[in-house]
Amino acid sequence: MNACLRQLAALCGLSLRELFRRKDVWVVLALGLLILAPLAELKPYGIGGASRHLHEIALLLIWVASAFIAIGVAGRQFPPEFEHRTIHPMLAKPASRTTLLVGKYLGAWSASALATGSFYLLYGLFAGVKMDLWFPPVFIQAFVLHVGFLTVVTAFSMLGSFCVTPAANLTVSGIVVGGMFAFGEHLEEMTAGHPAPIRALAWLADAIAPHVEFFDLRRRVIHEWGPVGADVAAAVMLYAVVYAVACLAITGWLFRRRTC
Amino acid sequence: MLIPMRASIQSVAATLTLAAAALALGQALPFVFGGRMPRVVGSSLLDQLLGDARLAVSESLILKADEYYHGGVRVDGCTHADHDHEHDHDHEHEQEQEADSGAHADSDPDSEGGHDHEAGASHAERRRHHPWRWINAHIHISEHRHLASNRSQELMPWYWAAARVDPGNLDAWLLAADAINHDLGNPAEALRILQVGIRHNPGSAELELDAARIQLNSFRDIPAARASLERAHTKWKQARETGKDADGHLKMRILFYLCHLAKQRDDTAVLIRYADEARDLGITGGAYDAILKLAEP
Amino acid sequence: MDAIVLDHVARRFGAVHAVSDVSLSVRPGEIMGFLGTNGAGKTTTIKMLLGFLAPDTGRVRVFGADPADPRARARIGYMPETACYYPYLNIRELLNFYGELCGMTAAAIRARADRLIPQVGLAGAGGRLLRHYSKGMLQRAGIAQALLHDPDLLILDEPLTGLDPLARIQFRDLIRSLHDQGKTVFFSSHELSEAELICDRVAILKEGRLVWLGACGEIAGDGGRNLERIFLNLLTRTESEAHP
Repeated sequence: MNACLRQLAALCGLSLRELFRRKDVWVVLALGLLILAPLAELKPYGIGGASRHLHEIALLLIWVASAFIAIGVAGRQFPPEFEHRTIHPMLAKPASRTTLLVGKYLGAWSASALATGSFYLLYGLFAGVKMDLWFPPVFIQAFVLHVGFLTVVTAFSMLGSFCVTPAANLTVSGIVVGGMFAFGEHLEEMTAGHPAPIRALAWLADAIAPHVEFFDLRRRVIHEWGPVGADVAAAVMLYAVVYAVACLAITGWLFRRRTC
Repeated sequence: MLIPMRASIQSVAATLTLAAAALALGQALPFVFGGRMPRVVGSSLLDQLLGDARLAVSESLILKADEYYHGGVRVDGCTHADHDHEHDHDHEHEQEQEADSGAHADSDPDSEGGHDHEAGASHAERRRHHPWRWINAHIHISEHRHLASNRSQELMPWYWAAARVDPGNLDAWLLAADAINHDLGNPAEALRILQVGIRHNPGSAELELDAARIQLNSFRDIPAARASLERAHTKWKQARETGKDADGHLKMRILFYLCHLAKQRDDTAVLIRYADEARDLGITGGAYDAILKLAEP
Repeated sequence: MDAIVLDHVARRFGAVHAVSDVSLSVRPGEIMGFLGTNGAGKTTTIKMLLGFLAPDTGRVRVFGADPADPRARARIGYMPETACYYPYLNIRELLNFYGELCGMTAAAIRARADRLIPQVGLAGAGGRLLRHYSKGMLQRAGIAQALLHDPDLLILDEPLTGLDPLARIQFRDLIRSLHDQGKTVFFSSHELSEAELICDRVAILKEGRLVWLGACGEIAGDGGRNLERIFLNLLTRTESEAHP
């Protein structure tokens, strides 16, 4: 068991090192600050004290950046390994393909979660200093559910990396995630009056596409509505775990069938 | 650690420098090349970037402000503009209530409590057994509440942005001025905003009317109010003559204030003339009844 | 128990028979050279030895176990043909990563890395990232990661590629020292002269078939023939005339 945990830790560490040495995260942090700092000083018509628009812009930036990072990092776990054949020395080690897959997934997930956590922490400090809003409970809950979002998206992108090219995976995953954010809540209503094949497609999308809108508490944070109940949060996180496990199971099957 | 950080700072600095250079070039080109530049409608950078899309962007920014007013929820049939006409706390209050038709009667704008247009719908959602619907019903806000008036500064960035993107969007000026005047208690700034809006929209009768109301109700500056009302009156007629869509209810409101001021200075001839104009509009109820009352000997 | 057993192993990819009915065994402590032209099936055979591919027919055993079982691979050290490693790591981080994948403790990895890094000639590389390594340096890094967990069997795919003459001599000495420690070495190469110098036996593959298997000691006394001549003869002759 210890050896297995050590293997998982090694694979996690690899992804973390790659993320932070690629400098993407630092650039995003710097750009985010550069955008928010002048906005915080903005006083339209000489009226100060507005903060909700800052929350909205900051949280939008955080979500967009974290989605790109999660999809990109997860989508880069295996294709470069196959392309550059670094998969071979890894497969030659006494680690099963399942361990490698789980380790890579945990690495991508923890890299994305760490990056996202940095964004939340930085913004939380910014909001505390500028607006005297120090990490309200709904903000903490929003971060926790955001991690659930990363759980789903990382697994989804990793599955995609075994099915299509890296560039196509980035595009498809981005479209699916963006589409579900925009329409996931209303798929059924949108297609109610359409012919049966369209409704069937919508039903299929509703069933199997990742419902990333479940994890979006931005409006609650921005407009001070307060956190959701523990039962709802638990249900959402359970959905995240089950969805991720299902994606990883399919990915594992594809990985075992793949000739290296 | 330091080397990657230095490289990142260098990348960001280089990107920002390039962006600044591109912006400066974009601003300088018209001056350098004068009449040789291709003709583009509008003169600002936003005009050139967005074109006619700025109208849609400006409208969506107004809707965003409305969403903020309703606690993050888009609500059809209940907008911030509907609450616009409830806010007068002056001696013309009752008459103005009659003049301003379309007031949203059953709301308390100072309340953060449950003004729930959709309670029935949200319960129905929750009763549905589909797990996705259940989750969405609890995660996403289905009820709405109105922003407390002392938090109206939250709307300002959106109104400001809407006016900046499309200075021809009258709602951007009117709603901003109204919120600043009544919710935040700054009539001077509200008047200034309306005057800026008038400069961008010299043909707008509605902006002149709102300016007149502030001059009258907040500053008791009757000569200035009268001048604004007369300009509003003229602009309304000019709009009608040029075939633009001129709202009859707007004219009725202008005439109400003109009649009110005429009555105050005992100018019966002017009062009757305005009352006749009101009658010719063919609109009954509300402001017309108030004008008839004013015109009674 | 033999270190390697290939028993009538075959593997095809579509219509291409990459490996056809190959049978050989490698004794513990033996150095075997695995030779053949490009496309002969050497890499496919090595992949089956490592459990990357399953044979269509036949049996592959490493120290009596199926190499698809991760536990069997604990005794194997593999150096791939293409020396490509993670460009954002340095040599110590690379060895740490592979060592942890092998289940080694941090202390054990540190001790082995302290020995191996100078042994493979990378002591001067220090904290340099692998993206700044030359091809030869990457080959040395490959040797180091293959030896890290002190495996009983070394499978080396074209280990001499990119090595300068001094490095080749050092490599030869390294293989001999491993042999003296009782390790088994199985390596594929195009370098016939090197194979002749260090191997106990060589196997020659042609178009997926084993066409020659013999001890290198036989070559010198066999009418003055050397390995290169045998190799060329085999490649130009038909299969039925091949030396068994």
